[in-house]
Amino acid sequence: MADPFGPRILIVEDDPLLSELLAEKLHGEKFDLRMARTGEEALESVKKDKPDLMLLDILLPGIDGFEVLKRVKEDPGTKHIVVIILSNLGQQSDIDKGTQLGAEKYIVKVSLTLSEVVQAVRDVWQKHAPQAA
Amino acid sequence: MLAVFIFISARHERLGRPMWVTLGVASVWAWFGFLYHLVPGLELARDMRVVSVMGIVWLAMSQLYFAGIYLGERVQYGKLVRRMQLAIYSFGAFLTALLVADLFGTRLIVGKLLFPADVALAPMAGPLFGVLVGYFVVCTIFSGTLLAWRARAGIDSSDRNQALALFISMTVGLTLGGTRFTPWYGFDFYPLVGDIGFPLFVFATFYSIKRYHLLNREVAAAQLFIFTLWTLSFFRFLLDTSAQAMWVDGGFFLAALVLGVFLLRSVVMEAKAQRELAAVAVERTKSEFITIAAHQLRTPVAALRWSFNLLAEGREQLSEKQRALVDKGNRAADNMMHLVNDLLDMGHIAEGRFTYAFAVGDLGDTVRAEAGLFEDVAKQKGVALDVSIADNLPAIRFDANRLNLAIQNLVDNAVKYTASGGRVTVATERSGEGVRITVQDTGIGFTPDEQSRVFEKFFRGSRAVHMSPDGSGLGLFIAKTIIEGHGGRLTFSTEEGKGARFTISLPTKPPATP
Repeated sequence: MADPFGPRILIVEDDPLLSELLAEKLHGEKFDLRMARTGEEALESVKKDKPDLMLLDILLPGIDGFEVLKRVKEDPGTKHIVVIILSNLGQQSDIDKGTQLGAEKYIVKVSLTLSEVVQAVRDVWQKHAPQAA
Repeated sequence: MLAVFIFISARHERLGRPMWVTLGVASVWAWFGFLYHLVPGLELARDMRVVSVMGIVWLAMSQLYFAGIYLGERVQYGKLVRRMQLAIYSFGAFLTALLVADLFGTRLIVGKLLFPADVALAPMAGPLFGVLVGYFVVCTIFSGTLLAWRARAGIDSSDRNQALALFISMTVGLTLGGTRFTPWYGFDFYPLVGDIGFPLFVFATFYSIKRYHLLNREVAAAQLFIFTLWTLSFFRFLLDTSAQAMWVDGGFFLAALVLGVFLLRSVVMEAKAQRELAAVAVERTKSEFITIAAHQLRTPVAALRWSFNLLAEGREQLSEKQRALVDKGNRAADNMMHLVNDLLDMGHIAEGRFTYAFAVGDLGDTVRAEAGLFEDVAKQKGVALDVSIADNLPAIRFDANRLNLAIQNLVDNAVKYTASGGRVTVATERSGEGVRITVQDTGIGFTPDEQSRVFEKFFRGSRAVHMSPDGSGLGLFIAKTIIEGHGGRLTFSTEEGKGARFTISLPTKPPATP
């Protein structure tokens, strides 16, 4: 069912309703999805599922999103994963920190509609997809 | 009067000044009225009485002066009121001149003094004495009206009540003072009213001081001490019999006067600094609360918006009623997002965490895109939206995210508060070295009363609330903060019922960020 040319996406989101809504929308767009609720789960899934792209929340129980991002980008085996931060922290300092740690895009959840989130995912993926695609 | 003075000086320096004048005048009135009963010789006693009457004229004038300044804090009143004030001051100056003439022998206002004070209550009334009484009555009514107006224009109930307390105490004070005129017509009305009215007046004033926490103990104690010192040293000087003693006591009085003023000033300033510190602490707690609350609301608001987004995508499967409901829900969720974002921005501004990331960009594109967001809404409302961008715009450094928000807020307001058939014009042009963006509408505009408060936090005009009930009242405050953060200026001109025009002036380079 998943789009053969689309990325495998890991959604890291602790709010059950938000993650359900995201999954519903992205699933409808035929993306291959994996879900994680905590920083620890996210790191585990990164190793196991080898996603191409990550939608990463910052405020998570346990290890926070910044730390997850840092570890993913430090590991040569996972640093190719494209990370989009999807958070409600919208301060410039947070955005700068995310970008410095290697996130491709920083989205403030409340400011975008679901379609805009999907469009942002597509745009980022188009820029970063392996050349074969 | 002293109570009223404490009441005022414990609050505002600016209001304290006219009260200083009032107090000085009241002292002239009281002292010379008092001397009238003491000095030997009918001629000198009459002169004292003339000066005391002069004090009454000035007292009436200074009350009006105070009422005007107090009202000006909240309301920009029109030319008519200012002209009336000016006319009253001029007439007061005229009466003063007549009284000075009376000192030199005419008997226009204050007539002849036939008997000493312990025999008759007052000198004879001059032919123009009635004019003076009329003047006093007009002043009392006029300043009372201004104070009542101020009470009505208060921003919240405690502000209104303070103004009301001042209105009552001052107007009652002046009216009671007016009863001092009755002995001139041969009947002393004062002990009758004064004995009941005066304690009541003092009680009411002190009650309001306590009720609204306006008493600053340090200031009040310093004032009491200084006034006692002044009064004692002044009378010591007056009662001196030898020239040598007068020199010494006069010098002491002058020194006490000057040093007392300095002491009072420093105590008042100290008290003000303390109040400001306390206010800053309260403000910080408030803005922290707003930031946290708004932040916590972001997740559920995002969930609501996204739920409605998903529902709207399947709209074909919904009944017409359900579709309308989903659209309304979508709009409500969008509104909620704007409110929460405004509150969060306001919290960050208050905490000094509203930072900017400047970069060179195409301002023309930005304005076109942001104004374009409102094309559909404007079309639905039947409002024409014109956007014009000059092609000679200079390259300019700005924070795109922040500036977008400022432009959105201005265009959003313009479209929102313009009725069907109206027009909104957004123009971007070069202005000297910088850029000028104007957003002009043919909407409701602002009333003269509203104009001074346009950029205040949470302020919304009454017709604006009527036209569009939701809105945080923060949009223009945030827009102004953003423009000023770019080193620019946001100004407006308006005519009630004919529209408003907001002008953003931006320099090519924003100020260096720390």
